[in-house]
Amino acid sequence: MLKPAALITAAALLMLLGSCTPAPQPYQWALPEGFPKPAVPADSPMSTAKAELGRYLFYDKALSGNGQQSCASCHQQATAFAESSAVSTGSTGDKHRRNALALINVAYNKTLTWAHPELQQIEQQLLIPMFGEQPVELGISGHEAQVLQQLQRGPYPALFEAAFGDEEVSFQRVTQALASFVRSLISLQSPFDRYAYQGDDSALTPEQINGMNLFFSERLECHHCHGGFNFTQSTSHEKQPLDRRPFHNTGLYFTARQQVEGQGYPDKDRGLAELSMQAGDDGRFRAPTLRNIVLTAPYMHDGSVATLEQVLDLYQQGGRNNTQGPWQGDGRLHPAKSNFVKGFDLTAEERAAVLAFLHSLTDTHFVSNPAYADPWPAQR
Amino acid sequence: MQNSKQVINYCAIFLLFALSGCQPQHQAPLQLQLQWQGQPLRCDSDLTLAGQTFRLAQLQLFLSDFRQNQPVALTPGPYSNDRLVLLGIDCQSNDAGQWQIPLASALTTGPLSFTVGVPAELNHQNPLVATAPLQQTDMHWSWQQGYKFLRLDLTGHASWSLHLGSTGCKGPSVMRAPQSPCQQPNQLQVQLQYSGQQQLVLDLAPLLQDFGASGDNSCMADRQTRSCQQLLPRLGVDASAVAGLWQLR
Repeated sequence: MLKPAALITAAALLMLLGSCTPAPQPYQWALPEGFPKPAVPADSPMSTAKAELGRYLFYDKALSGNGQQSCASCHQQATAFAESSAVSTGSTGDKHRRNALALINVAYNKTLTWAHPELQQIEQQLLIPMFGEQPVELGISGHEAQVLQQLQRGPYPALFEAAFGDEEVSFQRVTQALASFVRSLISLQSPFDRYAYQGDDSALTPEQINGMNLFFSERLECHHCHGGFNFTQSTSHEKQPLDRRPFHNTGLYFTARQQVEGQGYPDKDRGLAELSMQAGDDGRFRAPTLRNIVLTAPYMHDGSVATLEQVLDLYQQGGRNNTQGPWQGDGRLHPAKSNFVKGFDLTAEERAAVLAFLHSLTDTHFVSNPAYADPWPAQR
Repeated sequence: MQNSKQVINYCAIFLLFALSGCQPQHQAPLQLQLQWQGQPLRCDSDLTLAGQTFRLAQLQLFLSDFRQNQPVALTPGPYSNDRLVLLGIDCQSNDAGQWQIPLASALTTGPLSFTVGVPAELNHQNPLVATAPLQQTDMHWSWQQGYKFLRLDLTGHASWSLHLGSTGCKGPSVMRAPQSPCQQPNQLQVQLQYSGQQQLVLDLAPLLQDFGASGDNSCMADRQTRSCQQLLPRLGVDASAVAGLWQLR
């Protein structure tokens, strides 16, 4: 007769063993002590090998229909994986209507892209640049076999084997590996991080601290949308269960339209309203992170603001009055404009301080980290 | 033989635990009920403030330190720790909101008190290592200022907000905890008479129905602003809360 304690131990052992397939090393996130880990889909766990395969794919022009572009064509490390153009151009010359988002701590994003409340997994989002036809970005549609063929050249067989256990190439594996690489792009080593989360009082200048206090003040209201450790409220992590998907109208446009009744954001891009079919969602977009914001100009969903100084002007004025060009009208009057975008006064000194604070969000390690760089030899 | 009985006993106890976890709690369920002029207030309800029509965009609030002569603990969960619960709804999200107050023990007839707010000793911790329910960044103001105790956002005629939290919290910067208590803690004490009711009603009408909300007069707990001078006392800041704001039913 087994004693109860022995029975319980045996049962516990059985349960432990049952769940033990050969356990890969748990992935080591590049996070400072105490930072919550991102939530990762159960069917696409992180591994170093998958992220490494993803890095090769991310920088490989063979991952496009005509071999002309890679992910890195529009998401460049030097600019925190954004692009210095107002809007991006796809592999076949199609202009995208939106500005390439920086890929910074995307693993923490509650939702992906500029305005899509249901798009929450990078594996799904990747299908848009890979296969989308309006506009064509990487343009893989119609060229699937040829692209998969290309991914059988060296060093891919070894990389697929390390990541997935065998050399088989499939688009599901490609998206999982790319997603793993994108999740590995963590930027938490700015001077602000050293001050805020590592307790280093000397990491920020007095001017930057003044700017930070202004940034988080009720007078400027910046943090209502750009709050939390990622400087966007659209953030989630393993310890944050609530379903929050904030989108905001910042008063950029209020113009006459051909396609949709009433004044609002131009027909070319009405933001969340295009998906939700709610007029009240006109011009609402997800607040992007402000980490490395100095590097990611131009700004806004359509890249229509060239410099950070002009962004500050815009928020100081409580939106933008477009007096020239095709979309004339006073965006400040848009009824769906966020009530946190109502304008404020800043002295020249305060304005300089806010800008100095925004500079403290630049993580030079992130944009020079060799682990995120192009792994391919220069001559290919 | 003795041993096999023990095993059966262990199993029975285990089963009881397992089953009781699936049963609704019979102990004193208490639900927050949001209301406007006596009617349930939902995300799709219209509410008229001084003749203008609004809808709810968000109402979230922290309730803490439930007491009946002695502290009444809460059951820790995704939205609570043993003394604090986050309740309410964000109308943009897909969930139905959090309304259940997870009291760990039955209430008895008599006075019931609680606080609208986050206790000061929990209000200024490192937000990165915060645990439920304090890890919610849309309720976080800053390390120095702490949390929004109550966040009400309206939409419609205009976008308008009432956010209550501690103010006058002095420290070296917003990313450091204050070195002394905040000048206006703005923790609101509520006391009600409990006699077996199941709903804790929060009726926003006595607070807002005559208030002319516009895009320019949100109240961010700043006593220097007119809207806060009008609304904070009604909530119970340095005053008795306006009649009918809180009820048990």
